[in-house]
Amino acid sequence: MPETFRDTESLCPVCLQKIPAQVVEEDGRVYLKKDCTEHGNVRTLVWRDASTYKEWGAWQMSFVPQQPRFIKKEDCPFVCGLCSEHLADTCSVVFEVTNRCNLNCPVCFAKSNEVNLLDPSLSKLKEELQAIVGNRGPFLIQLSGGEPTLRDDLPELISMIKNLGFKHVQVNTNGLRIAYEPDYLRKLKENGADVIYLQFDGLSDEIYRKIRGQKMLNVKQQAIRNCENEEMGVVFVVTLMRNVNFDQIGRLVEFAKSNIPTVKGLHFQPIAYFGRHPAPPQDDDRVTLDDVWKALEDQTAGMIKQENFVPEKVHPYCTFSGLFVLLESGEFLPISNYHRSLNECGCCGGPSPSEHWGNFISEYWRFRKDKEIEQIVGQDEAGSWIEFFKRSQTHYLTISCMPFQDAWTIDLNRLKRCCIHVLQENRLVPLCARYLTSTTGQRLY
Amino acid sequence: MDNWQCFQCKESMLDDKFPVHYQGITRTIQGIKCPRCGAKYLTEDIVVKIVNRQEKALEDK
Repeated sequence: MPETFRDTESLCPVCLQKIPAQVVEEDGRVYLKKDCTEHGNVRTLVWRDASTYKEWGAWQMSFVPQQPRFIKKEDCPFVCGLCSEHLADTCSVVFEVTNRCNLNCPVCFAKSNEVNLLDPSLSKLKEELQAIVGNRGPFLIQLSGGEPTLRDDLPELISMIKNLGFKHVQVNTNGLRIAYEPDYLRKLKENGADVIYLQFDGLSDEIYRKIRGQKMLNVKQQAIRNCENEEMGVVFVVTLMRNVNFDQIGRLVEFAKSNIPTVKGLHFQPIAYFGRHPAPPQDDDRVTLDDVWKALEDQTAGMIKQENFVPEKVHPYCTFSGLFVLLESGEFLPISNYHRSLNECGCCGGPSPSEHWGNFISEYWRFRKDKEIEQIVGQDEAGSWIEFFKRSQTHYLTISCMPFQDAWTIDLNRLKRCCIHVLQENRLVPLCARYLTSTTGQRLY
Repeated sequence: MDNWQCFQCKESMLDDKFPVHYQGITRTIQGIKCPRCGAKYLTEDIVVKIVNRQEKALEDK
């Protein structure tokens, strides 16, 4: 007997009209079901194992932005920016600094290179940032595009962002320019870039041919070496596709582990079907949040366990994350723990979940030298707690996952809890709304 | 460590390093120890600088 977990709202994947929807359990799986009067029924898999769905969602909390820009609620998600109905504050701002790209990937949610506009000037970009800096900022800034490293003035832009008071700047890149131009990478670092968020889909050229349209493994490895030389932290961001690289998850963990302390994180993004993507998905193509944690356990022979991951409390169905310290023995010591975190109420003062997450990223995704830690705790001999503390602050890996919502899976209850926002014309638009496209390629934004 | 005395024995505490177990990990830490009864303490400086930070880091707080 199907069970309805909750009623929500969604969009028709064909016409993008807002329509009622239900999250239901059927045959042990969780689906989003909806019915457009014009285009018919749609049922899409959103969670593989229904037995874990409710418990994971029990984390859900709400934090309303302090300065909502709009009061209207009837226009969600068509007038975002954020409004008073939004239930999360901003954690990270995606800042599109160019639409140009030096790749033409078959999979690209930004659909880069399709409309070639002139890059916005530094002064224009500054205006946009100034519009949000007082709105509960400063947030984490992700420089995105297009390929942001195509801008020769990116170092100056990073410096400007830091001078405006934003504490964390990450560069979302395919790695081409930083692989070929280490001097450019050095300038990024000297001007305040905190981490290279490196598109890294796997460990074979065949994977890159399928997802990026060309061989890239050597480029990725050179980019990592250059970052190592510059003591620049790297986070691998993996576009995860069922029949392309899903079986690479365990190998990616091992590879990331072998590149600690340069590599700080491994972040999985199951493919979302917006922008440029393969044919419309079947349920078997879907990679859900619980698919990824199960694969992490299966493909690492239990070295990593499901209980090592915790949700982000504003929107548990959008993400999980875990922290693992690499011991001298080569083993991982899991730090995050589902059961322990569940017992923390998180409501007794302190930062909001978005702020907590932002603080975590800005601390753990940047490269920290031994000397920086020594200045805090001093020097000590082998086998001491001081030595271990230093290691736990330099030799670790974060593992996280964030499945975006596309026109099939979009659940407005989830969207209202989004804390990853794209800066667009002085507004902060939830990422999934910003990039969502219909079956015919029509954009919501 | 001339500034500290054992409450029971009235002996001056001595610097010492001893193992501390936490979350399944054992490492040494700098503390003070009574030479007579063996009571061990951590000074506030070490607790604030090391123990508090390590607890937060190990419990992902």
